[in-house]
Amino acid sequence: MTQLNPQNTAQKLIDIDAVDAKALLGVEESGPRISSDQPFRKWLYDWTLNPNIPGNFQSTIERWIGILIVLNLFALLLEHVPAIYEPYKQQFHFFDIFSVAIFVLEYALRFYLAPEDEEFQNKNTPRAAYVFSPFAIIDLLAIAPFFLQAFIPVDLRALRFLRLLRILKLFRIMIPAVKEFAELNRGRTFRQKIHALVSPSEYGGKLHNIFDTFIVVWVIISVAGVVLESVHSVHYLINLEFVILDTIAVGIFTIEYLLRLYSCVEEPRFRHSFLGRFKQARQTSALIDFLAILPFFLDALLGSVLDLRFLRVFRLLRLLKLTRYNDSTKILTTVIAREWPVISASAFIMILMVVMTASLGYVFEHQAQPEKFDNIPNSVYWAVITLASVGYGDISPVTPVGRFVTVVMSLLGIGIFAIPAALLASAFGDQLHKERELLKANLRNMMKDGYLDETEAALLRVEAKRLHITVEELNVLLEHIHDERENAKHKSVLPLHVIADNPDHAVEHYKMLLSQINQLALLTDAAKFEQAAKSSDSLTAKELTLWQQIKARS
Amino acid sequence: MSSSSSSPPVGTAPTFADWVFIAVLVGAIALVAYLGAIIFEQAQQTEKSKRNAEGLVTWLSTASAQRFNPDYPVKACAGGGDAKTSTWGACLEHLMANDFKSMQNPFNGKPPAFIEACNPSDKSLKGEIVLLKNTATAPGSAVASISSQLVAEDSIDQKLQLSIGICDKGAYLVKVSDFEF
Repeated sequence: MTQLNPQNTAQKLIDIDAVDAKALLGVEESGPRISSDQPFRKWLYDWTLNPNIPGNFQSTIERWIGILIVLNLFALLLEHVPAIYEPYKQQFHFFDIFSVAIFVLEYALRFYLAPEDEEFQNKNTPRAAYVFSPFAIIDLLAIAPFFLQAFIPVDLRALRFLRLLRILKLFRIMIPAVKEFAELNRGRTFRQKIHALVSPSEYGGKLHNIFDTFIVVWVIISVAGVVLESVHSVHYLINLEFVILDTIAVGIFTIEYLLRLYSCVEEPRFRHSFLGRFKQARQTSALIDFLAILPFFLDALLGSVLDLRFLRVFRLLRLLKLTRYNDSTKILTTVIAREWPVISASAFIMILMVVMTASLGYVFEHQAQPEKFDNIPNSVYWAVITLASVGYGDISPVTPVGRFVTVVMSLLGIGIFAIPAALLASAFGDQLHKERELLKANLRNMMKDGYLDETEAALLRVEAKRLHITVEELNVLLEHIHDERENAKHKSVLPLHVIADNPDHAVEHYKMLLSQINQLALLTDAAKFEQAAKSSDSLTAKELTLWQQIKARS
Repeated sequence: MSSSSSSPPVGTAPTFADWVFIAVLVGAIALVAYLGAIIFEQAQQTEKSKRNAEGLVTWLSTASAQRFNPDYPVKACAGGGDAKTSTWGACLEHLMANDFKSMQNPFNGKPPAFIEACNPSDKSLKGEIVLLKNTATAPGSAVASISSQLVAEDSIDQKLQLSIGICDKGAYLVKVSDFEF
């Protein structure tokens, strides 16, 4: 496992000889280290709620509770749509019972394990301290309305409203993230804080991750909304809800767009206050962000004058916002840019083929089928469908010559049309291979000093994940680097008698010495060398003869 | 994912530029809310138009079961009588004068017109009602039925298969229901 360098206490260093690929990539071999010999309560706390043990269920539980809270919020909103609520009343009720059961379990668990919690364990009565802590009160408020109806005749509408309190449970996730963000950004400007929030940096912390997740969730919700709008029966029932959803989504994406545009000048490449922002606005990701909100404004402002309904489909472009969180499209763009000359050449040949085929189709089939091959532009559709091997069959040649031409052109088309696909596939693989090689080269550089620091390890982890480097591959690489270092060490530091003991090493060493003499002979002035050797009697006659022989051979 | 390097801190309080940005941000949110409210208002008008059509569907569907009884009270809409006198025009006139007297096109505040089709290029059709009769074609035809506008002169002495829809805020058709009258 990892080993700390005792000389450096500020930065945690991992000795290269002790690097564990699994630990480096964050792959747990046998789960978290939780002793089963400890008391049950401590053991349960370590498994479920202890935030300081990596690999336990704490983050999983928090994530699923967060998801359940968001689902509760949606359920609450949908319950106000009679067309949805009435037919599924029972399911909504069961979901409510399920949610309350989970929240009660969570509350009971936290209550039971409060004496193990760092926050409460030093109090006289840890459980009482937990009960009166802000988070516990929020947790209680989230489940209390459900039980209220059992004892007090509460108006159901008020009850539903009280269930909104469940959102407060999100504070359990938000507050620590905000605190961490404030700590990381202490002494930084307002704009720098915004930049840390919206862009990946060392100052973002968990709040940046929450921001990203929030945007991703809204992208998915709004795209799902656009897709469902096309279903008449759904759109007919919840038209108003779709309008509200779209307005909220556009509001969120507009804020995000402005935040990114305002804070981009914090990055060196967008430094200038106006030109930098203009440059940022021209970035592909910024254009996608802009196009994601544009249809709403155009439709609202010009919809009464112009028929802009077709713009609605462009709301699906919001899906492209997700490319910011995935590097595959970046690799694909690089590949297309790199292979553009070949792609454009094959596109040119494809266009030639299409025009040729359409023209030949028109020439040979027009007489027989004037309604289908009435002119060359209309024959282009048939040509493309034929050359791309799609073959719908709605238009097909009937004359013998037309069929013969189609056979020839189709066979050619298979090859020509396959070129771009094959090209892209091969270039994509090649690009990945290159990036992996680059990562390996970087890893070699990082390990030159014999240690990996935390920053290097984190960078390696991110890149290895992005390029799908497996533990086995990393092990091979580490072994290779280890061997290289060992060889270099042996060559440079082994004493002569150790080299002499091994004939292979001795031969290698002899070759190295000869090579050095050869280099010396090439670089030095031979006349001056011999004059100096003779005048000061530095070399014996035999030594001088040997030098002359080596020099003559070189 | 690229990690960026930020410029060194120069002060934590928002600067004038920050306040300008905050003002722009608030302005943008206000604009989205305002436009959202306008779109919501228009969507509500479309919903009211749908309710108009649904009201008609409910009335006509209910009447469908009874209007062939001899003692059916609404004579103007009764079936099984004289094809020349029992017309849709008379029935509609009765409906608009009684049960649907208060029915309005929410987009113009007037009683809705019954039209043949919506036309997105003619915005004056917003909120109007498209009422079509579906006539079955002969067996073996390419289409099962053909649709045409139910006009005032059309006889209602026999059962009719009807389709109803409305023109939304963009004067596009929103189909409401197919029913029997």
